[in-house]
Amino acid sequence: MRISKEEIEKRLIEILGEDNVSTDPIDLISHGYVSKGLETYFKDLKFRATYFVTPRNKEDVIQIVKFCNKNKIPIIPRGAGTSTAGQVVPIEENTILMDFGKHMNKIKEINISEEYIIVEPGVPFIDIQKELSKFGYFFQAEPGSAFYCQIGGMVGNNASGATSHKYGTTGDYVNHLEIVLADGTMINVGHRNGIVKSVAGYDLVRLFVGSEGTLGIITEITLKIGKMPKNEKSMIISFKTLDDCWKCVKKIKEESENLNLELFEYADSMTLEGINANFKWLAKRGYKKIKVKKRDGTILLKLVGKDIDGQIELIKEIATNENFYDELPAIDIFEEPFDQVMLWEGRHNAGPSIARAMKPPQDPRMYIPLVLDLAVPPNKVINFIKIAKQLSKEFGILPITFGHFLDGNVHLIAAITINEETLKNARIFQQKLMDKIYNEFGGTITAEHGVGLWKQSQLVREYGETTMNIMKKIKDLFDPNHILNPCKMGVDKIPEIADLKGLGE
Amino acid sequence: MEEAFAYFNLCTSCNTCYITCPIYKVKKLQSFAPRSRITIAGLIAQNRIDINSSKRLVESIFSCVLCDMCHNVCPSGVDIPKTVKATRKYLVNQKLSPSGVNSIIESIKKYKNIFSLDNEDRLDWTEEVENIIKDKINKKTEIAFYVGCQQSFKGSLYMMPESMVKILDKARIDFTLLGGEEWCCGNPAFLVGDRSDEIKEIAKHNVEKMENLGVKKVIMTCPGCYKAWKFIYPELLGIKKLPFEIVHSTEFIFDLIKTNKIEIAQKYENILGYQDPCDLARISGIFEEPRDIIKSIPQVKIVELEDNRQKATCCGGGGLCKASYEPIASEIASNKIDEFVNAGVETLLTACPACYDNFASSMNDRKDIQLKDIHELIVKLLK
Ligand SMILES: Cc1cc2nc3c(=O)[nH]c(=O)nc-3n(C[C@H](O)[C@H](O)[C@H](O)COP(=O)(O)OP(=O)(O)OC[C@H]3O[C@@H](n4cnc5c(N)ncnc54)[C@H](O)[C@@H]3O)c2cc1C
Ligand code: SF4
Ligand code: SF4
Repeated sequence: MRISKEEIEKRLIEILGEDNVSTDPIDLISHGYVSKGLETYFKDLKFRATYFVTPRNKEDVIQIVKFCNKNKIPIIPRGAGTSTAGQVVPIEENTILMDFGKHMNKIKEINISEEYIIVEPGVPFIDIQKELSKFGYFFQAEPGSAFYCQIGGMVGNNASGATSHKYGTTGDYVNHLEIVLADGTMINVGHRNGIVKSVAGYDLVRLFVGSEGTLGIITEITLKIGKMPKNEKSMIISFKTLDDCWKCVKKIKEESENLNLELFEYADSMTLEGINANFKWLAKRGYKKIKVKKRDGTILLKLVGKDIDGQIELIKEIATNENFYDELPAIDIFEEPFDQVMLWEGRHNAGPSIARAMKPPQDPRMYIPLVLDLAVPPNKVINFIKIAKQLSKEFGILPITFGHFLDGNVHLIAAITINEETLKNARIFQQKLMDKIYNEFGGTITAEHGVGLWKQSQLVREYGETTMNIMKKIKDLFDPNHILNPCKMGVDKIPEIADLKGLGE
Repeated sequence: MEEAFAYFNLCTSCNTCYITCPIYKVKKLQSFAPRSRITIAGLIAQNRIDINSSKRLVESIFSCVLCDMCHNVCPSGVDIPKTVKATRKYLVNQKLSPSGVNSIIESIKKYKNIFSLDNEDRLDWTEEVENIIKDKINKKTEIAFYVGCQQSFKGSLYMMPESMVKILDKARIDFTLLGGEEWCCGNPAFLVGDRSDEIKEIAKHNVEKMENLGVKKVIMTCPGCYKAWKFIYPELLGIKKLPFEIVHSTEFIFDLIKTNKIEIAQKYENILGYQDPCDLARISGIFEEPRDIIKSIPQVKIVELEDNRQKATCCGGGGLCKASYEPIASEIASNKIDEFVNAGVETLLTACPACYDNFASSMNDRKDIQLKDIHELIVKLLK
C-alpha cells in the first residue's frame, strides 16, 4: 500500500524537526521554479512539490533518502534554483525539494599551500570567491549567474561560462565529492585534497559532476583553486557588421600565443541595448555612468597577466587594419577596476537585462528554453548565428544573440509572449533549428546550462539510442527506483510538456 | 494588483536578486527572496493561490524592509518594493495583515501619530531645549523643522531633535516647529500601499500648515519623512512641486559648515563608521553630505564597509518589518554591527531614527562599539 501524505510529513518531521519541513505552498513554489511564462500559460500543470526540506547535515540527508527510497518518494536536490532548463522543477506526485542553503552552507577548509577548498553544497559561489580573494586566490570556472548561484548547483550542472575557453568548466576543478546514493549509502569519489593528477580507476567524479541531481546527492565538495591574475584591462571592439567582426576574431585567434585572453565575448546590438538599459538605471541610482556602443558585431575582451599594454596594442593593430575591413570599428578601453567590474557584471546579466530593453509584456513572456544554450564547433559559429537569426525572423521571433566566441557557444534569446499561436510557432522553430544544429553543424543542445526538463528529448538525437540506453543503465545502477530528480536528463520517462510537445503540429 | 502583475510578467526568474536581500540573508529560504515576493503578487493577481492557505505568504510580504536593494540589482527592471506595497495593500484589505502593522496604520488615521498617543504631547522631547524653542512653535518664519513621530515620542530618540535645534540655535537660524499641529508624515501607510483619502488629508494638513507659516524650507532628520514629503506628497496631492523646499538635516548641516555658520572644532578619537539609511541613500540619492559632515571633524578617522553607498545594506529597521517580525530586524542589526566591528569601527554613526532605534535594541551592552546619532555627535564637537 502506498504511504499517505500525512505519514510522509510525519516521518520527515521526525527526522528533521518541524522547522526544517514545510508544506506551505509558498515554500513549495519558491523552491521549485519553472519559467513564469509557462507556469502562467499551463495553469492546469501544477509544477508543485509536496514537501520542502532543509537538512541540517549529511546524516539527515542519509535518513531522508533511505526513507524515500523505501517508499519511492521523489527528491530534488537544489541550489539557488537559477537553472534555465527546468532542472529543479517538480514533476512527480509527492516530490520533496531538498535545499542546502539554510544549513549546509559552510566553507569547511581553505588550504592555500595545497591549493584547494572544501565546501558544503549550499555555499553561495560569490562567498567562495570573496573568501579566496583574501588570499589572492579564486575559483576559475564561473557561470553568468556566478553572483547568485550556489556551488552545489554549479557542480550539479557542471556550470561554466565566459572564462571557460581559458579555464574550463566547474568539473575540471572538482577533486572530490561526498555523495549520498539513492539507497542511503554514502560514497566518496576522488581525492579530498589538492592532488593535481590521478588516473586511478573510472572517473566517478566526472560522472557525478553535471548529473543534475539524478544520480546522487552531493553533501561535500573539494575544489582546486588558482591564483588570481595580477593585472587586467578590458576592451570593447564594435564593428557595424558581424562579418567584419568575425574577420577580426579570426586574426586575434591567430595571435593567441601572444595574448592572455581571460574573456572573449560576442554580443549583438539588442544585447548591448539591454546592457545599456541596465547601466542607465544604475547611473540613475548614483552609480558611475557607463555606456557601450550598440553595434551588431561587438566583441568584449578582458586581458590579463604580463604586458597588458602590449597586448592591447596588438589587438588594436589587428582591429584597425584598414585594408581588411569594410568599416573600421570603434574601440573602447576600460582600465579602472570599477568600470571593468560594471562592464562584466553588465555582460553577465545580459540575458535578464534584455527584458528591460523590450516593451513591458502584456502577456507572460518566455525565452524559448530549447535554443538558449546551443554550441557548434567554434570555426562555424558565425554561420550558425546568421542561420539562427534568419530562421527566427521567418517565424516572427526577435532573435537576440550573445555568447562565447572561442568555444562556439551562442545564447539565443528567442523571446516570445506566450499564446497559442506563438507557442505553436516556437515549437516548429525550435525543431527546425535543432535540425540544423544536428544535421549541418554537429552541434550540441547545451554547452553549459544543462539538460533538465526542457532539453531531454533531444539527447537521443545528439547521441543515438544505444548511447542513451547506456545512460539509462547508469541511472538504474545508481537510482533503481528513480527517486532522484525524476523525469529529467532523458534517462527516465519524458513528460509531455518537455520539448513543448503537444503544442503545434 | 494590475501593476504587480505587469512586474510578474517582466520578471525573468533569474534570481539575481535573492543574494542581496537582507531578509533572505537571515532566513536563508528562497520564500523570503524578492523573486518569491514577485511570484506571490503574480499568483494573487491571477487568482491562483488560496491566500488563506499560506502562513509564509504573509510573512514574506510583510517582512520585506523595502530597502530597494533588489530593485537596484534586478537586471530586468522589476520594481519589487512597489509590487510588495501593492500586495500588502491587497492583504490589508483582505484582513490578512499582521496586527502590528494594522495598529500603526489605524493609529495614524485616528491619532495622527504612529503610537496611538495624544498628538498634543509631540513636544515632550523639548524639555532640555525649552529656552531655544519657547517662542518657535507655529511661528511665521522661513525655515521649519519637521520632527516626525519616532523622535517626538520615543524617549531614546529625543537627542536627535534636541541636537538639531541646538545646531540651528548655534547657527543663529530662526525656525518653526508645528508642535501638536504636526501630523505623522504618512510614510508607514505608504509602505502598505495606502494612499487613501484619509492619508491624503494628513499630507494636505501638513503642507497647509507649513504654507500658512510662510515656510520656504522644511528640514527633516528622519529619512522616511524626507522621502514621503519630497517624493510622495507631490504625487499624492497631484501637484508638480511642493510650495517649499524639503531638505534632509545632513544636507542642511553640511551647508552650515561650508558657509562657516558653524564650525566643528573638537577632535573625536574613535574610528567612525557610517550607516547609509536606505531611504536617504539608495532611494533618495544622498550619499555624500553625511560623509562630508563627518570629514569636517578635525583629524577624523572614518572607515567604510565594503558595501557602502548604493550597495550599503539595510539595518533591518525599515519597511515595517520590525512591527511584526522583531527577531528578523534584530538579527539583521546585529549582523550589521558585527560587520562594522570587523571593519575596525569604534563608533557607529546613524542619520536616521529607525536605524538608530534598531541598532540600539541589538547593542546588548556591547563593549566593542558605540552607537551615536550624527546630530548628537556634531553638537558635542561644535566650537
Ligand atoms: C542570468 C543567468 C545566466 C546564467 N549563465 C550561465 C552560464 O554562463 N553558465 C552556466 O553553466 N549556467 C548558467 N546559468 C544557469 C545556472 O545559473 C547555473 O548552471 C548555476 O550554476 C546553477 O546553480 P544553482 O545554485 O542555481 O543550482 P540549481 O539550479 O538549484 O541546481 C542545478 C542542478 O544541480 C542539482 N543540484 C543542486 N544541488 C545539488 C546537490 N547537493 N547534490 C546533487 N545535485 C544538486 C540540481 O538538482 C539541479 O539539477 C545561468 C542562469 C541565469 C539565470
Ligand atoms: S532579479 Fe528581477 S528578474 Fe531576476 S528574479 Fe529577481 S525580480 Fe525577477
Ligand atoms: S526591498 Fe529589500 S527586503 Fe524587500 S525584497 Fe527587496 S532586497 Fe528584500
